Amino acid sequence: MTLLKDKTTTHELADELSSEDIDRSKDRSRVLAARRNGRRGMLLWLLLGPGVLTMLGENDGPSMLSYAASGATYGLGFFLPFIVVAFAAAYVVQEMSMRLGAVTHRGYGELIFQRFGPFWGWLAVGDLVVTNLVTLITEVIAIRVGMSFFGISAQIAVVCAVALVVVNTLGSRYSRWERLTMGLALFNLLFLAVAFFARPSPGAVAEALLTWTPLPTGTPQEFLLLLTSNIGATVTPWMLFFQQSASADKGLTPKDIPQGCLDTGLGTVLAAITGCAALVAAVPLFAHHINVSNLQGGAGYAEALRPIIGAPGATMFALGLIEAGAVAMLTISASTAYAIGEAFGGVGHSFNQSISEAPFFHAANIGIAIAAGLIVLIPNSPLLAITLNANMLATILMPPALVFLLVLVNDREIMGPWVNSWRGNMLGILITVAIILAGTAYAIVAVLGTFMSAGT
Amino acid sequence: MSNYMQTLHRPEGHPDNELIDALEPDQLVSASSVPFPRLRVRRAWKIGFWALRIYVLLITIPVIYAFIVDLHGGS
Repeated sequence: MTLLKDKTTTHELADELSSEDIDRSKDRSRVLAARRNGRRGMLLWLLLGPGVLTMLGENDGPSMLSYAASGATYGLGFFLPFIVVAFAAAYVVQEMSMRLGAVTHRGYGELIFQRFGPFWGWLAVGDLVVTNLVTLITEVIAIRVGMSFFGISAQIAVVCAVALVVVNTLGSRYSRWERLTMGLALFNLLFLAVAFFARPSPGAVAEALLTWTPLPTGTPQEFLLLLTSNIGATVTPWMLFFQQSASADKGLTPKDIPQGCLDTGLGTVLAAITGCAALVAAVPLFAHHINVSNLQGGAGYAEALRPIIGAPGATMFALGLIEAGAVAMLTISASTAYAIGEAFGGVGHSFNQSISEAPFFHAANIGIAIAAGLIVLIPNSPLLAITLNANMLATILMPPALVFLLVLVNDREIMGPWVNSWRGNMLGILITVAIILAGTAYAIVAVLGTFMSAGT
Repeated sequence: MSNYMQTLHRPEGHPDNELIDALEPDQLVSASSVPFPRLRVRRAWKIGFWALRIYVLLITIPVIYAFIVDLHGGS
């Protein structure tokens, strides 16, 4: 018997309603009306959100810079189809997260605490908080770099980044938070416009996508760094926490799983297109033999692209970078808040709750954004090194998170008939093994490279 | 039920009861805040979890080392 369906009817529970239930039921009543009246378009519109936000949120500052670095280092070729495959892998993983949230109405962290106990729960949350803090620092850096293109000072950029998280939290409604963040996430498509300004050869793009050539040349360490960075740019622990918790917070139910798949699929397609666009946009830097490492330490990609693709394209790249950082600030802060709120069992962890109802949730959401902003303002802090290694950290911490996900999504007691298919399990295991191999290969090559360079 | 929730008691026929029909019973906060029981984790899984934790530690050490070396080299 499933542990989910042993409750009585809604009316028998109706004397235990919380304000969170009331808010969520208002959103759900619109979903039910759309489903009853056969309005499929409206139904999909109402259920869009967690998937699109997770995928476009992952097209964050360091991710877009990783894609751009791949294009600027190797040109069109191997990494273009690799990004598409990496996003396909992200879809497989995120569909499981959405399904877990829709069926159990609980977040990922909450389920680890409840099913595996506090030891593994705190480890998972600890991993997430560390990775999220490092990643949020890079988001603030992305916003700072983007704004510096327009002559805005670092202090103002940091205040804007933190203020965005604070302001978007006000209102205590998940739906409001989600729609505002989705509106902002649409500007991720700016990278598509930048790619057009780069005037890529359609034939070369098609050839790269179909043949994976030309293959990368250069040092194995540089190649593996970009490979693992690109993996960390598409499949990361915060995405699991966020999409599952957001699906539960939105009120998805098993009946909504088909729309949840469409939501995740749409997000995957949009994110893959814009990720590839970021790579294509930076290809002119490869053609002009511009050193990427100098770019990241200096004025940034937008400045370097300006003389090659023109001011409008460079401006859009800078705006895209600000957007990428801003959306990720919101989603990654939210994933931290969900995880912390779920870790402290018995306290609220929903955007549908006020600060007094969910103090840890809101404190974590805003607190981690402030912490990241303050670290960026510390003079002489190693911001460049943090940016380059943020995706690497995510890649290393991903395998344990994926294994817990696979165990949970195969847990028939909580998932009932919605457990993973054998195909889903095979793909999940394949993705986990691939990530482990990539992380291990980079670690070995990085250490060997470090020792060898120290010896010379 | 958890203390943090602001419980709202609503009489029969209250308009909000109609709204609550939009939620599934196990979706209500009062239901979803009841924790699932602990899973009886198989020994093989436990070994797997620990192996992955050790993997993370082993991989993190060289990556942090390379990061620090790179940091000093870059400064």
